[in-house]
Amino acid sequence: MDRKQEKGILLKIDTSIYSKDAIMETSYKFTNEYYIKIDFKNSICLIRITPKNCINDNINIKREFNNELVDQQIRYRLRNETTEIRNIIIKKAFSSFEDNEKKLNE
Amino acid sequence: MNKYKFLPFQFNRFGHNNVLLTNLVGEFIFLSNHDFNLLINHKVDRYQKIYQDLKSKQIITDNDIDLPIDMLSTKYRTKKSYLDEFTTLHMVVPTLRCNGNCIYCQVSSKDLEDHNCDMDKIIAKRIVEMIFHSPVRAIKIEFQGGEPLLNFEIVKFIICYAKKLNVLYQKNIEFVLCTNLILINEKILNFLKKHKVVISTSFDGPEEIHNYNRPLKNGNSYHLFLEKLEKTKNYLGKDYISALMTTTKRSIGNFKSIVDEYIQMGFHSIFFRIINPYGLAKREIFEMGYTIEDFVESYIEGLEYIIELNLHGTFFMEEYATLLLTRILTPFGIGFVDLQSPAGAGIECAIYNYNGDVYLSDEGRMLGEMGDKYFSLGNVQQDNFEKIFNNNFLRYVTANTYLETLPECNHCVYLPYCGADPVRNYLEQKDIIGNKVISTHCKKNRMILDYLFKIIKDNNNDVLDIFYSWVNRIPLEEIKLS
Repeated sequence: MDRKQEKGILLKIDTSIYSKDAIMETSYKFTNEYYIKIDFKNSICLIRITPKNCINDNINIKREFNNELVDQQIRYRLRNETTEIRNIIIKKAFSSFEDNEKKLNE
Repeated sequence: MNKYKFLPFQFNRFGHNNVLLTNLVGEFIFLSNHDFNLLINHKVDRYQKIYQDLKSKQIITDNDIDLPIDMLSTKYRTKKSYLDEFTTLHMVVPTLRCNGNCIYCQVSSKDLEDHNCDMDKIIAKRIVEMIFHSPVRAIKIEFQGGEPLLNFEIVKFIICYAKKLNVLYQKNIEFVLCTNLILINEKILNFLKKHKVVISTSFDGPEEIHNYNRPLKNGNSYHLFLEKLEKTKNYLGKDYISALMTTTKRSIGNFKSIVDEYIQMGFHSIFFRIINPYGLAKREIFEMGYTIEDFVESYIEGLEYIIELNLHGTFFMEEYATLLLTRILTPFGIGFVDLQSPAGAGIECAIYNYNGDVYLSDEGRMLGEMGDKYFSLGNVQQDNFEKIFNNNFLRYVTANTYLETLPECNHCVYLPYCGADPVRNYLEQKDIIGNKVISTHCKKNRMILDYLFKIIKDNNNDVLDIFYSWVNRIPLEEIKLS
């Protein structure tokens, strides 16, 4: 593919800093107004972002994407830290319906 | 670094300088960017006020993990309490015939003499028996259409048969009749009063808008409606009748005058409803189409006007805001089908068409009338309760509308307040999950919630008092006196 002819911008993201999850979540968020092409090569992720409507606002889209990536990386970290507790809470929330009714009926 | 643990929460940037955080059950807190950075880097000092605020909102916990788990699981169960009450709302369509010609009608309106689309007693009987198989303690039977009064004999039959069966089942049973009121007369009102049937009608506001949106096949819609409304209120009492409006292009920019009409008619609330892209509405979408941004702009204008009225002593609510505020400001669940996760369609409500076909929602039925029976659950003449309400398709829809597991939704700060709309997603994107980034349902809810949280953040006590009066559904003066 001839990169010179491609529109939009190319971002290089260090995957030792940002997780794949964070990169995918961020990319998903931009799919309404941009075409997104993602390639993972070793520890670098290449993302080509092409506007759907021919308006090229390359500087701002880079900034917005990077900011969103930071937030998504935080979310990824928080998710990892809280998944186990979340599962316990939800399991406990749905497990006690039958138990309480049985106890009341005994 | 301070050793506190995170409890599950979502966040989003709110304006330039703030971050909004919500936990698993919808408790929320605003932080400055600075405090948020401290939080996520475990640098909030336990002696800071913000530390106690974050603990009380169950965003963080220190050593004791058992207590917050117990509290959050109890609150989560409360929020999802509708799952315990399987299929409370049963909508019945006695006929597709209608004397109206509403431009946004969601059914293929049949002519008045086409009795082939009337429900018969055999199907009606099967439907009532199916309804009573539902395990819930309280059921609501709601008549939709078409215009149900055009097959009032079946409406009467269903109500009477349901009451007869209920002698055995002893459920708490309510009846609602959705009608344009045009055919109402004393004999009908007598029956409705005797059986405590509540009326839900449609009223789109000032004469010019109402007549444009809801023309009758014969007569001036607005004047006839007002005449029948007055008669109904006098007979049944104003507590037995409510109205809602549907937004079209004519309504956009006119929400204030629509509210004024509602107040003049004696209503205490309004539901600013967005148009649904089904049935006739979809074919004429170019004529009445507007963007989500147009709708939300009018919505906010209407809501600000309603708040202003309340500040000047007129108790009047906007129903959609009230539903969202109930989620935001109280620990309780709500029974609104379109704001549930997993989707309320099928598990909280079902609709029985005139021919016995069962769909998981009225919108699913609309698609069926348009030729796409994707959301059909079965037919009461061939299928039993188990086959209709415990089938693989309903499980598939339920499993794929649990927002906590869906892309974009699972980390959305408004997750605890939002709900799935699988039929709209299917119609717009041919996929019940849908891409939330382009979803109109998502966009609308996000914009309205952004606005409500902006008001909450402003922390005007008078406005917050009004919100609490809406959530309690009683005027502010009565709350203050009690």
